[in-house]
Amino acid sequence: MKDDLLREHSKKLKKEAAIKSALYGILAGAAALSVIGLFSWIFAFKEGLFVALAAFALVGTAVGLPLYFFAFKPKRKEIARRVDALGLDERVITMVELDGDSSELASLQRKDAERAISSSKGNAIKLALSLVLVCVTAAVFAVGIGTTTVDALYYAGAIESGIGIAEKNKKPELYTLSYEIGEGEGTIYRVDENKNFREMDPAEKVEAGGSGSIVYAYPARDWVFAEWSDGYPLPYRQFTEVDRDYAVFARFEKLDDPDDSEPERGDPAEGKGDGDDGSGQEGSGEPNPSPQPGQTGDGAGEAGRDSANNQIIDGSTYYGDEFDNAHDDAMGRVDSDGSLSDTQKDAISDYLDSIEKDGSGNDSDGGGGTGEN
Amino acid sequence: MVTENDIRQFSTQCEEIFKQIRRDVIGQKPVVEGTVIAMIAGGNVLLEGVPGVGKTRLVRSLGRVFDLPFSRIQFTPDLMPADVTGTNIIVKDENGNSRFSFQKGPVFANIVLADEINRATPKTQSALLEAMQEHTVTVMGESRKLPEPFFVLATQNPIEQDGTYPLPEAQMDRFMFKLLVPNPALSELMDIVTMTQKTMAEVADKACTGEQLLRMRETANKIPVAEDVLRYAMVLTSATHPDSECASSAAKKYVRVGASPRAGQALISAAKVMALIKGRLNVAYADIDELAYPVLRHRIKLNFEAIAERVSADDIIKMILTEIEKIKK
Repeated sequence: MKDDLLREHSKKLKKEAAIKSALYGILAGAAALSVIGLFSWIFAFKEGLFVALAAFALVGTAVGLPLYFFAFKPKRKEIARRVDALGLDERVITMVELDGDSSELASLQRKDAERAISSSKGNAIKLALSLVLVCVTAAVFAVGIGTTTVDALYYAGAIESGIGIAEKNKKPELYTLSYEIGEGEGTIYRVDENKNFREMDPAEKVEAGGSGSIVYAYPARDWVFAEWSDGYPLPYRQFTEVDRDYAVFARFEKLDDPDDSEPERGDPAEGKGDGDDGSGQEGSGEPNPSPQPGQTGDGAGEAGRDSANNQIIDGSTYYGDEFDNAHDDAMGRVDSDGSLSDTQKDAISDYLDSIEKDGSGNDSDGGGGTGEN
Repeated sequence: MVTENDIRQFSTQCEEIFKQIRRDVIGQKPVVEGTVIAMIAGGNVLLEGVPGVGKTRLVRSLGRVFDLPFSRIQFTPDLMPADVTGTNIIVKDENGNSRFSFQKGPVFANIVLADEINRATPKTQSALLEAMQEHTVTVMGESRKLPEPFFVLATQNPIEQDGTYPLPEAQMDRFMFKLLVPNPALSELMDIVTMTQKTMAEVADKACTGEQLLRMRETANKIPVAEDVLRYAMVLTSATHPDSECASSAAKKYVRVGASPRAGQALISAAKVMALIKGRLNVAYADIDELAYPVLRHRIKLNFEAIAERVSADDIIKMILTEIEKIKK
């Protein structure tokens, strides 16, 4: 076969093979570029930009070149088939197969084929490129360009890494803290930032590692706080560094003899009362959100003497004793104060005595309050 | 060794053959062409068509054109095998002794016209088997060679007609082509009637001798077939088998038994002749495609589903050709 006979066709088919190889090379390279670029950005690998570009060049070459030389570069038979497809009725492929045959018939066939080839033009062969391949390559290349751009922006510090963005947008994990009354009667209040008692949901949601509200298990009349279900002894409590759900129950105990000099108490959640009647029923004072255990100011009588709620400071000193001491101290200071007139001293003494006479702790600031006690 | 002269002679003779046949047979170009191709390739031809479409006339004309001894056997239900092959008869020699002498039957001719072959019983039909394949006749243990070139050109009425016996598969397979002879077109019919009003006699002249025909066959046999084309032809043949590795979906659905290897041989032999007739010195896919119908249609045994759905063998061949089209690329 004369080599120049199919030169024009061969040139065209080689071009087709080169384009096809290049497309596959770009496809493979772009895939590598996309993957490396994406992971570099996600995992905050700044130099990934250069690695991705290098991978694009290397993988593209490593795939494209072998494909051209070992798969797509047209061989003589393939060229012959493509030329025959132009309507040459398998003359060319037969001619190629008869290469080296010196018989007269082979020679005649060759002449016939040559005549047919010369009547067909090389440009009649249309490039056969798969549309799917072109589209897929374009799409993957576009993705590669996209990830490279993102990488470059990250490299330049214009955007954050994928992990960084993810961290920022990470939704915190929520835990539920649930406070309920287990035994007895009482109310659980939330103590707000102004140290006011507020009604609260029995369950509150708290972010992982966060803290719950300060809650206060406030006993009803004739009841006294005993403990939380998890053994926590104080009515005030707060969960900090929450790492799971908690469900606790407040347990209250009934006072032994509720009639024994039990003062009327106001609801601490109703805020400060005016204390006009001194009964503490309505005008309860605002409780101190951080009182010591037993500082509920409920003015319990002897029946509650041993209860922690009816102690102050250390749980063993009865507040009535303290009151007496304070009263005596006050009386002494009034007596020794020379700046006061006798009338004034009498008035103060009468007042202090009147408190002493009550002997119930139902002071004018409200018996329910604890802050004053 | 095929020379340029052989090729030129082949073309010239072919042209002359067709020209002469056209003098007797009007129209029916594919049938005439198919018959000539089969004769050059050395195959037997089965012509199927309703009575009166010119089957016998074509065969008689071919006998004239090829200038070969021609015999006609009218197949009837009472025809016996010996009526075809010949038989031993007792004769007296010059000394008055009796001896067997073989009386040649009509099959001893170069061109045998087996007219209405499917009107004879299968036993008589089968008398032609050996003759068609081996070109020999064996009577009472003695084989006799038939003259070369030898062809059986059989005609049959469509099997749906009364008083017909379908040809056994083995015999069918020995026909290179089965050509369907259609009713002539209106213009052809007018020409036929006009011509036969003048004379009913065949007027075709001799265009080729037996030796020339053999030489033409030899020339055609040398025509090269590219490996791709050969593979295509064999895939086509195999694709007619529902159980072969190349089985087409059409064959799987509609075919009980596919074409035999003889079909592959016939395809290639005939394609070589066709290529030369078309002035080409190589076989093309187009030749195989064109010859697929006459070569395969009588070799495909349809299954019940095909019969029920009225799918013909030609329909199946068309489906297979469409299915294997991708091999060409």
